[in-house]
Amino acid sequence: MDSGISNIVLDYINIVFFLFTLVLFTMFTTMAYFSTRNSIHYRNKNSFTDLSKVMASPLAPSITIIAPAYNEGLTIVENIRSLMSLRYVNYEVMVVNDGSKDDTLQKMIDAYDLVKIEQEIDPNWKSKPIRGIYKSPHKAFSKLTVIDKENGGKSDALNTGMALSSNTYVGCIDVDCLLLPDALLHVVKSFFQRSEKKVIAVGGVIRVANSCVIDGGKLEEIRLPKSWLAKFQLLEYTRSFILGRMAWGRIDSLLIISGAFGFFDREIALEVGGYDTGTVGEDMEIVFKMRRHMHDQKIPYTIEYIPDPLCWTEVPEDLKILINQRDRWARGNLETLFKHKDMFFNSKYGRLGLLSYPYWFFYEWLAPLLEFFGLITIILFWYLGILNWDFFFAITATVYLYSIMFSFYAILWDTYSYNEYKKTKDILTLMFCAIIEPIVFHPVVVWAAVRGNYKKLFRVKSGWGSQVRKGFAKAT
Amino acid sequence: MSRFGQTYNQLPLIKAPKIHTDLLWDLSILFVGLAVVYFICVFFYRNRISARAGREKQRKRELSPMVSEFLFYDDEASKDEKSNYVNLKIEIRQLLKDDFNRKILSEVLLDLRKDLAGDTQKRLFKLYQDLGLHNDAFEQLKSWRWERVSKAIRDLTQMQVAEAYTFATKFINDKRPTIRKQAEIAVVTLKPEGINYFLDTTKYKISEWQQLKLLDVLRNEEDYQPPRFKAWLTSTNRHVVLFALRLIKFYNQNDADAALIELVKHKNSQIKAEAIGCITEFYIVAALPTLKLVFWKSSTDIKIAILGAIGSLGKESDIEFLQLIEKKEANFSVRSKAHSSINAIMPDSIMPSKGLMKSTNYSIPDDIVLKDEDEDIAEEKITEPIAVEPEVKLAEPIIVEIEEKATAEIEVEAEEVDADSHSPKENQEEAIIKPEEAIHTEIKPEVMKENQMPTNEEKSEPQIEAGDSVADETLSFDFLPLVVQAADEAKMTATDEEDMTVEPKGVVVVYEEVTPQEGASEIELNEMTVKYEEVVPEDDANIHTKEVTFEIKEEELAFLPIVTDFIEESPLEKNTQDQPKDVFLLQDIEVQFEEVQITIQKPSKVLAPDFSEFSTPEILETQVIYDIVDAPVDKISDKHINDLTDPYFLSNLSESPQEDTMDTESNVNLKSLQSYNDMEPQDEQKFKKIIKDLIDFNEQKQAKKTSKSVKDWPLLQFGDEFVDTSSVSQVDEPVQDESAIEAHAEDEDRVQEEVIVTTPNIPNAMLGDEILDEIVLYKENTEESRMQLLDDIAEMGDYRELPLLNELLVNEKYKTVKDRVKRLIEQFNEGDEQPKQDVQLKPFNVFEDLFRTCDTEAKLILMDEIVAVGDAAEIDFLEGLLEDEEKEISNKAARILEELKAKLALANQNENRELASTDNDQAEVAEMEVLIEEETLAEYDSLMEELQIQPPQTSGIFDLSFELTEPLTAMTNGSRVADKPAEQTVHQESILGQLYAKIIDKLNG
Repeated sequence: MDSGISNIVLDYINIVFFLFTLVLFTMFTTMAYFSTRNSIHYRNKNSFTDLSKVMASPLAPSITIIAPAYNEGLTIVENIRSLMSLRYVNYEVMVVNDGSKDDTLQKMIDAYDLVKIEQEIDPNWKSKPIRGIYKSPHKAFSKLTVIDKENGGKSDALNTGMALSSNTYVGCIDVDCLLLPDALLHVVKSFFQRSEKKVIAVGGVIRVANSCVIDGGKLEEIRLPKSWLAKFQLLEYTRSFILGRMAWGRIDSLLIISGAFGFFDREIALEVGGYDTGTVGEDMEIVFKMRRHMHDQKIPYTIEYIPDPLCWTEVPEDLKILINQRDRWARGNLETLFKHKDMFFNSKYGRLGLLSYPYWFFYEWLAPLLEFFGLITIILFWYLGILNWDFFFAITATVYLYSIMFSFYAILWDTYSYNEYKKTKDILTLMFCAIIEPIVFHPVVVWAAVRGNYKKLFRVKSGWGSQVRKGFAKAT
Repeated sequence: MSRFGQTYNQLPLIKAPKIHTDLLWDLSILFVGLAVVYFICVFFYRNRISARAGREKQRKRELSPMVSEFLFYDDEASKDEKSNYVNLKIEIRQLLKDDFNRKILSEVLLDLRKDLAGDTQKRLFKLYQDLGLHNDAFEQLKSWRWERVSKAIRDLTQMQVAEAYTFATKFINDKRPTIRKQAEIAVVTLKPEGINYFLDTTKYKISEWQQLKLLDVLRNEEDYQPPRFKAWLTSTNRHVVLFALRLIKFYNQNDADAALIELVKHKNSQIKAEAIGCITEFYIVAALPTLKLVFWKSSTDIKIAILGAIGSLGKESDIEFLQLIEKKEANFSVRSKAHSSINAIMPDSIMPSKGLMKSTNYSIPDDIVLKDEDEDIAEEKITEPIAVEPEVKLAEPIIVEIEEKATAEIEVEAEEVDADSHSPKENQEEAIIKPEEAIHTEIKPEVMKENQMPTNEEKSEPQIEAGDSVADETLSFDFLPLVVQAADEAKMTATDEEDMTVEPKGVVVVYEEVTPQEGASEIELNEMTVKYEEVVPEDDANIHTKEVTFEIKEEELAFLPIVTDFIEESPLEKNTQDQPKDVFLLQDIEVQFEEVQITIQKPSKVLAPDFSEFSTPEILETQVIYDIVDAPVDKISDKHINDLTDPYFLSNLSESPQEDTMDTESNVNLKSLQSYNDMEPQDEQKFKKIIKDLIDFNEQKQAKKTSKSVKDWPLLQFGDEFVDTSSVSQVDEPVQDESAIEAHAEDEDRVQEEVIVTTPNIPNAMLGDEILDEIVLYKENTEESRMQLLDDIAEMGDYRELPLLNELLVNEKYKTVKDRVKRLIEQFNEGDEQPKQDVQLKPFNVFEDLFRTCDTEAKLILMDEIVAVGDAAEIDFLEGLLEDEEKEISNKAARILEELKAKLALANQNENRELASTDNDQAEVAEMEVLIEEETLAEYDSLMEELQIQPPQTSGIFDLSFELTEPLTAMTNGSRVADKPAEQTVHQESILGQLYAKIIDKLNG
């Protein structure tokens, strides 16, 4: 009997894993389909667009780009220069020095000849004390505002920027990101193109800039990263942004806008209280909040997603930093999902409650845990001698090959849409990464996620971690 | 147990369904297959995209110069260019047979459109249609795919195909958004009335982006007369209303006040905001009650907008409303805006009241110790509005401790004094600054970095702490300059220049009198006394006045402007004002000039010192334009001459007091010359006239050999050049002044002496182009200059100068010049002969030139054309082609050569016949011409019909007919054709027909 029951239990476990895998396959395939359609539609539609028209228009809206900076002394001056050379007329660059311990502020003051000015902000607005607001008397730097405040984290810095801005839209970016010159034109178009719905936020693709050649704040040459860790991340980003978010954007269920490149309707962002300073997943949380707010207000709205590669950033090339980053992401994910748990399968929120939230719950938060515990179970079963080897090999091969196939499709679509890595060697390298990634890179990500969940669930104190920037390669 | 197990095993629900591993393996195989497909596709697409891009680039590179050739082709181009042009036409027609080329060409034209403007752009649009590319776009409009239709509409719009307007209107309410949007832009772009049609008929919402694009289209329209957009403020489509509001604002159509006021009540916040924007822009004060009405139920942004409008439009009576908002409104931004609006209506009515320190706190402690700034910041609570203090962090981690004892005198540098941070009492103290008073000032220890300059705000920002109300009672001294010198400076010494900087805080300076010590009529100011009362507030209640007297020497006041308001009109000035009238008397005076002296009269004026003014740059630019010569002439005549030569008479002296500033030291009566550019138009004309007259005079003098006496030579008789007709009309008018005429009559008798006019040294900058031109013209007309010219021609010229010389001979009035011209003409006619062409160049052959760039097919066509239009010159060329590598060409060349020779032989025969018999019937010739023409046209039409070719449009760019009709016309018009036998003509006609057909066939594929 015992053996019979255990067999039945084992069979059901197999079925659960099988179904989970099957649903995953189905969802990923559906996402691939939606993203393909969305990409084609986007490309066709944008072939008629002359973005330069917005440049001189009296209707061009005002935008503030908020860039929090913490110990960014190495690259801050160059990064600001890049931000100030964007092709747009009506914008402001607001750098929030979040209590840097290095010479970030001093470098900015020296480079842009900044002087302190006086400005009031709402006393009810909660943020860490502001030490000073700086502007440059030079016309060339009139777009730049630097806010020096005490350290309060990225969210706090962004909130301060939002409160001090007076423009219609605010862009929250990482200061070390490189925005392409046309980035703001795309953003404005995305905010402005809808007539049926209000666009409350615009997100975009983040591309990996490691090893790329950048000169004078401009991307001169796109190269494949030299570091293997960065290569894996590049593949992961391609899959996630080209297929994943594009698909969610297609069905208007995007739940996350990357913190490195996110633009918001300032009024609505302030109405929901800005970024949550109590979470490390603030970029996801603010989107949840804004969506809920709009649902509650019953105002037709949408979040736009720009698939064009407009924002380039450095990804960690150090394993420890990478694990810390993913650890933070996992915690942020858990915090946000927990905070908005009442949306789970809540039909009041439509697709958001019935589709997006469950997906994030099962496949973004739970999947790594299942993978981890699945591995442990397999080892245990092997140890107990009850492992069904046939099934194990069959399902492992299926998942593995699907993963490779899906990555290949992402590479194909990236090539078809943007064709950025033109060299045969680069493409082959990426494909090789796709083949070995499930064995080499993916376990690291799973481990980081498990660690992050453990920390969060068992309240192990942990912060943001840090990342050492190498700075972009200069053109020779 | 076993039973239970049996039962359990038999329960179907508990038994787990079997997962066939085969299914998983099958899936694995499927995924592998897909992965392989994707792998292949990646490279396939990559190569395809790269290849396509390369092809497109290459083709664009080829087509772009061709298109440019067409666009910039000049009808009067050289033969070479014409042949190139013909060649291009053939080539481009060939290329257009391919769809890919059509697409690329279309793209090239669309790209070029952005870079072109004016006529060239119009030619581009024409070319687009001539090439029939617009037909492709019209075809695309039938497609079911939205992107194709949209692209077609876009292309037609961008290439200004007016016929597309009707099609576009059909799509204006299409349910597919991209098509609809393109149609909207097309409608607005293609016809000026399109915007009316669009706003009238659109049913859909207009996105912000679309509005932006439509506005961009309208903005770039040339000579666009916008309709009155208020007509659409009543539209049921709120997006139309919104767009109309924006257009109203953009075009400043301020005739919709009532509608705008009503729209403030609109439910839609965007419309509301735009309406408020318009109200502010057009200053519609009547909207204030409505704005106040809707305020309380509006969103934050609208509230802020309303407050902004009230701030702009409001009056003092609206302050109560704003104060109410200040009290009741919870939102910080709105409250803040209300403050600013109150201040906008009544400046400085709200002053900072929170967070200010008590005045007692400003007393300087015994020891001033600089504290670390961070400590202060840490202590601050954020419950108060965060006032960012202008404290600058220490550049270096060195904390400077300043210890200062309170001393009797404190020298405060202007940069360090914070005017606003001190109470009025302190301000007064600063103003009085008595040495016996110990001033306790809390000096904020600001340590500035070298490269860090404080802003004004920073300078004036108070160092404030909570809990003091003294500041509320204070008057604002923001407008006052900072005190630079402290106590000792209060006791000014009159002779010190720095005394002019009067301490503004608490010191009232009343200028009682400024008395020149010498008479008002005298110009020289040696000394004058300035008295003023210094009102020194001793304390809050008492003000004591003391009189300070100081003497100012003339030199010290030389920089001062002259206030003419106080000037009594002196006789001299009166004369000066009359000067313009007198000038014109000169034309009736016989004057013998020896020298022209510019004497600038110094008017007598009472100088009222104005300490705030200093000498102006104009004074520094004072120039003397003429040599100053002492002239022993009568006063009045001298005055007249001065008036003539002095440009300063032109302006009323009293209008330019600053220019009266003089160099008293040298005591030279010079008047600053008014800048030529600054003159008023009428003055400028007069000035030009004078300059010209002077130049004329001088030139005339030179022409009559220098230093020649002009005694008894009236100015009016100087010749036509001197008193030109244009100037007469200007001069006539003032002569009517009777007093001037009288004065002139008196003067006339007095002017007897010889006057030698020195060459005026006029700066070029003062001479306008007009004058310079006239000088040049005049120079060219003198006898001397003519002779000089002829000398030059004799020296360097040759037979090519004959036309010029002939012209001179006809027009010249001086006899000597005429004689010289005649001699030169004879000389050139005899001596020079036209050089003969001694180099025999190979005659230009248009066909040879064309052959260089043609492909085989085109060469064959061209050879047919040689038969039709060629002559003996082509024989050599055709013989050369006999040895061509391509057999097809060499064969055809042989045939064509034979035909050409036959044709030429026939032509020779005809010519001979023509010489023999000249009595052919002209009527028969005419009949033949008509016949040939009709038959050719009939054949042409039939061909066109057969080939289904649309005749070319009005443009001549692709009209090949001239190439074919020209020989035909030539032959029909020439007498030779008339002599041809009918049979020969018919034969030739059939050849032409064939040629025609073939070329058309070739060109149209």
